[in-house]
This record gives sequence, C-alpha cells and structure tokens, in this order.
Amino acid sequence: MPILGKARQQEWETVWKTLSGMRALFAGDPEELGLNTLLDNIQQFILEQFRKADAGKPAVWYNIGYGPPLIYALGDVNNVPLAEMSALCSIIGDQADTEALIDASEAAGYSAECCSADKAGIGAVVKGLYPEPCCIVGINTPCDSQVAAFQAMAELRNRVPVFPVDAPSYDDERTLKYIAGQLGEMIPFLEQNTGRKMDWDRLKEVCETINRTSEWLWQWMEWRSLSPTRQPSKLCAFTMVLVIALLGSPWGENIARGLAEDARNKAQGGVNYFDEQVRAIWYQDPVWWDIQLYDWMEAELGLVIPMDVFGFYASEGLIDTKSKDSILFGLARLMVNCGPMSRQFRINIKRYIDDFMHLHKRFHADCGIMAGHIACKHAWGGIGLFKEACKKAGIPLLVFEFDMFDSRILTRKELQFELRRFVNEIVIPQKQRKAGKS
Amino acid sequence: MAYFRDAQEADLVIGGFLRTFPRMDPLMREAVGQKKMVLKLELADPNLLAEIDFRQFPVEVRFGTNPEGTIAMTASADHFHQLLLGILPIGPAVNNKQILLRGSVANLMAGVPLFYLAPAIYPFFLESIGRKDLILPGPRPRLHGEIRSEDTMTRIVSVLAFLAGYSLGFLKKHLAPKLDLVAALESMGKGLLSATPAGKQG
Repeated sequence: MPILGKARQQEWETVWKTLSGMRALFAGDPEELGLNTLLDNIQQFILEQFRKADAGKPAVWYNIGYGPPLIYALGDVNNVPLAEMSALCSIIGDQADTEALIDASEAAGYSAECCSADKAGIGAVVKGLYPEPCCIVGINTPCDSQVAAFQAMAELRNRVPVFPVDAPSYDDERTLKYIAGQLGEMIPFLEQNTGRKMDWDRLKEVCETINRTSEWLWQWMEWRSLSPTRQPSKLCAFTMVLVIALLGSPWGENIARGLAEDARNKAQGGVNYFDEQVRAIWYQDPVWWDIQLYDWMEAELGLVIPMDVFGFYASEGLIDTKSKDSILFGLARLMVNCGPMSRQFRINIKRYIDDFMHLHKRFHADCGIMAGHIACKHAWGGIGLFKEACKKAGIPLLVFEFDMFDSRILTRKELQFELRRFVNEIVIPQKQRKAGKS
Repeated sequence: MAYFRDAQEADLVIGGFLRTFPRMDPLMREAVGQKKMVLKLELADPNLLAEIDFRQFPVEVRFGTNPEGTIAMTASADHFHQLLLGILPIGPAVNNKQILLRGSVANLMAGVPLFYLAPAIYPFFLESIGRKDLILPGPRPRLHGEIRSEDTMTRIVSVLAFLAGYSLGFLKKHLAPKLDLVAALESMGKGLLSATPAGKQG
C-alpha cells in the first residue's frame, strides 16, 4: 500500500496497510478512545516523517533513552528513533519482518547479545528503511545495549557527525546539571548539522506540551490504579513509545490525553468484559511479538496488568520554562529520571526494587511478573536481590526468560503455561488463604 | 443464546459456510490480500475446529485438525455466528474479548476483511440450507470505520461493485428468489481469475 502516493519498502507498506486496517476496524468501536487515539496519532506521526523525508528535510537519528524534544524544537527536522521499526513491525506490522530485521543485524556482524529493539533497528538501517541522517545523537542509558547501538549507528554512517550524551550512574543534582550541560552543548551541534536555528520560544512550547503530557500520564496512571482496571492491559506499555518518539509533540499529548480519558471513562462507567481475578505488576518488557496475549490473559486467567515498567511515568515535577538553564535541567531530569527503564536501570538496583514496591502498593497488585527480556542484563544482574525483596514482602514473583521482539526465544505456548501455572497454582491460592476462604 | 444444539449442528451450519469458501476463491483470496497463511478457528460451546488454508489455490478448508495455524481466532460458536451475521462487529468483539486473536498483527488484519464480506453472504447461505431461523433480527451495526483509499481506480471500482451487488440483491428479492448467490460469487471469482495473468494467480 503506497504512502503519500508513493511505493515504499515492503516493511513500511506492511506497517501502513496494517495500521490503516486497524484504524478502520477499531473505529467501529467508538468506546475504545484510548486505542483509537493511539493508532490515529501514530499514523499522523508516520505520515509527517514521510512528508519531511520526501521534502528532503534533515533527519536526526537517536537511540533508546534519548528523547526527541530538542529535535522537535528545531522545527522541520525529522526525528528518527533507531528502534522505530522494531516497535512498528511487531505492534502494528508483521512480526516476521521484525525477526528478519534482527537476523539482518546479526548477519551484518552486530552482536547477538544486544537488545532485540536495537538489533531490529540496526537491521532497519542495514536495509535502508530510515531517511539518511544529517547527524546522530544518543545517550548511554538505559542499558549497555544503547552504547552498542550508538556505536553501530556511528559505524554504519561513519561520515555522519555524532554526539553522545554521558549519563553517570549517580542520583543527585550534580548529575542532572552535568547532563543538562551536555544538552546545552548539543544545541549548536544540532544547529550546525541540521542547518536550523534553535528557537527557544519553540523549545518553551515543546516543554509546555511535555508538561501537559506528563499531567495526562499521571492522571492516566491514577485511573489505571483503580480496581477493576477496565482499560486493556495491552495499552499499558505505550508510554515507552510516547517518550521515545512523540514526547513534546501534539501527537504525544493527544495520546496521553486519549489514554487518560479512556481510563477515566472506563473506571467511571465502563463494563466488565471479564472477571478480574489477579492484578500483577509486569516488571520488565511487554510481549510485543504477540500483543493479543494480553487479551488472553484477561479473558482466560482474569489476569490484569494495571502497570508495567514501560508504562510507569515517574512523577519528578514539571519542566520549569522560566530560563534556558531551567529548561535544559528539566529535560535532563525527564530523560534520565522519568523515562521508563532509564530511571530504573541507570543507577543501582535499589531504585529498581523500590519502584516495584511502590507500583505494587499503588496499583493494588497481588503479585509481580518479571518478564526477563534476555538482553536486559541490568535487571538480570539484580535478580537475586529483587527475588529476596519480594520474598521478604510476601509478594509472589514469576520470573522467566523471553525476548520482547523475538518470538523464537520463548513461544506463546510456553509463556501461557508459565502464566497459567503461576496464577492458578500460586497467586489465587495465596489470595484465598489471605481471605480465609481455604 | 445457544444457537446450536451440538457440534454436529455447528458443523453443518458454520462448517457448511466455511466449506463454500473454495468455491468463492479467488474472491476469498483477494479479501485476505494474497497472504500465504492459515487461519485457524477454535470455536467452543459446541466445539468446532477448522482451518482455512490460504497458502494453496483454491483455498482449502480442513476440520478437526490440530496445527496452530499462522493466525488464530478463538470464540464461542454463538459469538462467531453473530460475527458472520454482522450483528457482532469484529472490532468491538476483539476489544470486549468475545473473540481472542493470535498471531502477527499484519496477518490478522489481512484476515479481517473476510468478516466484512461474510455478513453479505452468510444469511443467504443460511437461507439456502433451510436455516432462515438462524438469521437473527435486529440492527446491523457499522462493521468498520471509513476505509480510505488513495487510489482513484479503487474508489471507482468500489462504487461499481456496490452497484453490481445491489443489482444482485434486487434480482434475488424481486425476480429470482431461488438465485444461488454462492454460484454467482463463484462465477465472479472465475471471471476475476480468467482476467488475471497465470503467473500472478494465488
């Protein structure tokens, strides 16, 4: 299916056709405001990317962990997250394409131990699926794989200037000021390579958009914390997509508002389409190679995910737009302390565990599910301490290995077996014992 | 509800409808966008397992088999019957978990147009097997939102196809009540096939 009247690469055409099909399908259900807003705004974002690419506007590539606000503030510059095709092919395209991109990356010599989000992104670069960059920016958080992905982008486009941001493993104001200082240094780099002047008034508007988006996301989390959580579990993880690709754009704000209003409508007057039995904090990466699995979890097991790591948008205050320094400080804090994963994995494992305990309490969960994405070595490195903390708190925890973008690591059947056994043989009996029913 | 007494009746009605699919090839194939996939149906209360194999020409429909399929749809037989009639639109049915899906989203979306097409044919099939009682009364909700096509020719042909369908419906209602619609669709499919170069078929 052509995009903007032009034939595109097969992967893009599949994404576009599938997305258009999904929009038509779910528009038949106006009750699904959250899902429909999400699909609509992702489609608008992709269209804008193609418009800019067709018009020859400069493109900036960046890795997971780095957000797009500075790029949005430059005006007509294309922001291209490396992992864009990983997510699009799996969630609204053909999973076979994601796996082919992963294989293309490995075949080109990039490490099999990297995160599949990055591997599929590198595969997309190898296959020429992104508009050519005028420069590349990145950050060394949330994980080791980001360092490798940044290096891969730099190698694959070795004549393109790069700007890496160093985020130290500390949690103090000095660290945030250090990162803000680097963002300040990045501005002339972006200006020079994109040929666009940074408009500080526009950056202020971008930050105000981010502030409104943040408030919607915090409201959204409040509505999702109520039991029963009627908004589908499968929508939970999309904060991550928003933060990486859309933060500071009207599309991002629309999505956050749509999700919040949808969650509120469903909490206040929604219908229970299944019987909520168990609430779990999904504490790692979502199953994006078959997102329909969440519907199965709800319908067959009564298992609801009110929040997960990708969905959690920490409250660290709004960006103060009074001065250039306060804007850069706010953006730095947002990038490393609010962004999903960057917040939990940048410093020691204590925050990872503390955030889980916070979510468990706030979302009235019965258990935790540590869906161990194989490349998330930061999480695996702390698994012993995490298990110990859950044991001490009396929280049942399921731990398994899988890959969020690669269905070949753990199959759907194996995953269903694990989830069914955990819910029916561990969590529900424990709940019954606590309620004095057994 | 419970439209079907037992598995045999579900097989006669829903299974019977699925068995007409090879006759409607290549229309069915066009509906799924030439995808090489197997759509597995897992119906319950009463049970019916079927798979529609779009990998070969004409499509093959098999029953009672175990393989996973490329994509799958799980539902109660009653919900599936409502889906075929167009009383239960597929979008809300998925959102409300009355139908559970499995597999690549692109392949699932390729299979969805079958359920836009089915409500136009299934009632006539029920009538043809003497099961008019299963055609449920009530409003037919909108099955999907607007499907925009950038291609002018697609828009023109869609209008012409609507007029052809309207004429067929008019003929059946007013002039030829015994008109076999599946046979008509089969002929339409044959016409489509004859006009398609051999290398591009299936």
